Amino acid sequence: MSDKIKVENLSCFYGKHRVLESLNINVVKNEILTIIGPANSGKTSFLRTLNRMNDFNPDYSREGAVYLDNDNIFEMNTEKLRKRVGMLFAMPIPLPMTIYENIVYAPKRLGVVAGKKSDQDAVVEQALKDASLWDEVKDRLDSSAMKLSGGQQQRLCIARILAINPEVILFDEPCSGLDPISTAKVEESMIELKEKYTIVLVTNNVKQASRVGDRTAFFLMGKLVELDKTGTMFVSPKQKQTEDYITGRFG
Amino acid sequence: MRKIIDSVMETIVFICGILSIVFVALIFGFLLKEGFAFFKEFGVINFITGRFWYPVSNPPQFGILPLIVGSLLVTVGAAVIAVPMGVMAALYISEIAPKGVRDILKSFVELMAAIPSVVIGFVGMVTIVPIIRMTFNLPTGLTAFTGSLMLAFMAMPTIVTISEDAIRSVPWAYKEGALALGATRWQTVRRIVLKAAMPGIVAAVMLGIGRVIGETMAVMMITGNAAQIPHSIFEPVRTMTATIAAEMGETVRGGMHYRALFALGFVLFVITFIVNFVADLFSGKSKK
Repeated sequence: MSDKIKVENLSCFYGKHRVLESLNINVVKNEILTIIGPANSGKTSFLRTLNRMNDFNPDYSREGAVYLDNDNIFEMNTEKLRKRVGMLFAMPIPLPMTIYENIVYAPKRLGVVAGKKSDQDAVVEQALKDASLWDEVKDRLDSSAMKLSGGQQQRLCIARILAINPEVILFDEPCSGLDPISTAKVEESMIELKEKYTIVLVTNNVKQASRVGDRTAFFLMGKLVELDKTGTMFVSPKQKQTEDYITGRFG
Repeated sequence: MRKIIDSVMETIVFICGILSIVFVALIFGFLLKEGFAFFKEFGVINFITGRFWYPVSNPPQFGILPLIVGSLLVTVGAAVIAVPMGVMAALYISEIAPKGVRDILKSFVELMAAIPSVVIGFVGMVTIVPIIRMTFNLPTGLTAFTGSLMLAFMAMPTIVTISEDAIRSVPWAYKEGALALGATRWQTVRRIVLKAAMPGIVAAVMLGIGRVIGETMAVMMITGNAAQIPHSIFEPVRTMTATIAAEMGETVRGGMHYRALFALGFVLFVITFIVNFVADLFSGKSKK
C-alpha cells in the first residue's frame, strides 16, 4: 500500500499559539483515516492545512511539509491543490443556486467538463448517484438547493466535490448537524467512496470512527498520541490517554 | 402609577413612530391639492408631454418634457458612472483591501456623504466645468454630462456603503465552499458573492439614484439651466428640481405658475416614490 499523503514535522500556529506540534502522519491510498480527539486538539486545523483552507487566516503560520504523491503541497498552486483535495464542512453549505448548478459549478470553472449540456447532465447524474442522492432529487434538479433537508444538503455537498473528481476528500465533522438516519447514509456513502478516493475524516463521534475508519489517529492538545488500525485501537489501545478518551472517561 | 407611566410612554413612542407617515401623507396631500387644481385647468397630458416651458410668456406654456428629459439624462449619466465604480469600490473594501486600508477607505467614503451639495456644485463649477469645456471643445462647460459627473460623486457614498454591507453579510461559509472546490478568488467573488449580495446591491443602487434625482443645488449650479430638449449629453439641461428651486421665489402665490411648480413637485414625488419602492422591494428580499 502506498502513502497518498505524508506529513513531516508539521507544526501550526495561530499568532504565537501553537495548535499542532511536530506532527508525523501518513494517509494510505484508498483508506479512511479517522481523526478523533477532544475540542482544541488541533484536528480541524490539521485537516484544513491539508488543502490549505487556513491560508485565508492572516494569523496562521506553519512549519514542516506535507507531501501529496511526493509533491509538497505548500509549493503548489492552491486552486490546483483544492481540486485534488476536496473538503466537506461540518455545516452543509449548498451554494445559493439550483441543485444542478451546485454540481456543475466547480467542474465548469475548472474546465473538467465541456460546455455541452449532455456532458454536464452526465456529470450531475454520476456525482449524485455516487453520493446516493440521485433517487431523491432526480425529479427536481432545477429547484433551489436550499430547499433540501440537512442530510440531503450534506450529500449534495459530497456530490459537488465528487464532480471535480478529486483524489483525496477531507471530511470535517460531516455529521455533527445531522440526525442518525442521515448520518448513517453519509457514512454509507463514505465507505463506498473509499474504493475510488482516499478519505480523511475528522469526527467528534468516537463511535463513528470505530464504524467507518480503517485506521484511527488520536489527537490531544495538538499532538498525535496514537495511530493504529481502528480495530486494534478500539480493542487494546497502547496509551492510557487513548483508552480514557475512547471509553468516555474524558473529552 | 407605573401603569400610567407605561401607557403614556407607549403613546409618545407611538406618536413618534407614526409621525413620519403623517408627514409623508401631509406633503403628498398638499402637493396633490395644489397640483390637482393645475392639472384640471391645464391637463395632465399637456403638462407631461408639452415641449416648451415658458411660464411667464403670454400665453404661458407649461410643458415639462424638457425638464423630465433633463432630470433623466443627468440621472442616467450619473448612474452609468457611479454604479460600476461604487460596486467595485465596495468589492474592494469588503473583499480585497487589507484591514488598515479598509478602515481608512470606509471613513473617507462616509465623509464624502457629508459634503454639502452646494460645496460640490461650487467646486464642480470652478474645476470640472472649465475642464469639460476645453477637453470637448464646447461653447459652455455647463452641460448634462458635467452634472452627471458631479452627481455620480454624490451618489457614490450611498452605493458604496450599502453594497459593502450587503457584500459583507454574505456568509463566509459560501465563499469557503466555493474556494474548497478549487475556485479562484475572483471566480468566487463573481459567481457566489455578487450573486448572493445582488438584492442588497440593487437596493443600494436605487437609493443612490433616488438621491441623484432629488438633488437640486449642485445641478442648478452646473447643468446650465436651459429648459430645452437636449440633442446630446454635452448640452445644457434643466432638471425638475432646479426649476422648482429657481422659480418658486418669483411666482405669485396661488397663481398659475405657482401651481404648475407644485404639480411639477408632485411628478417628482411620484418618481422618487417609485424608485424608493423598488429599492425597498429588493432590500426586503435580501433579508429573507
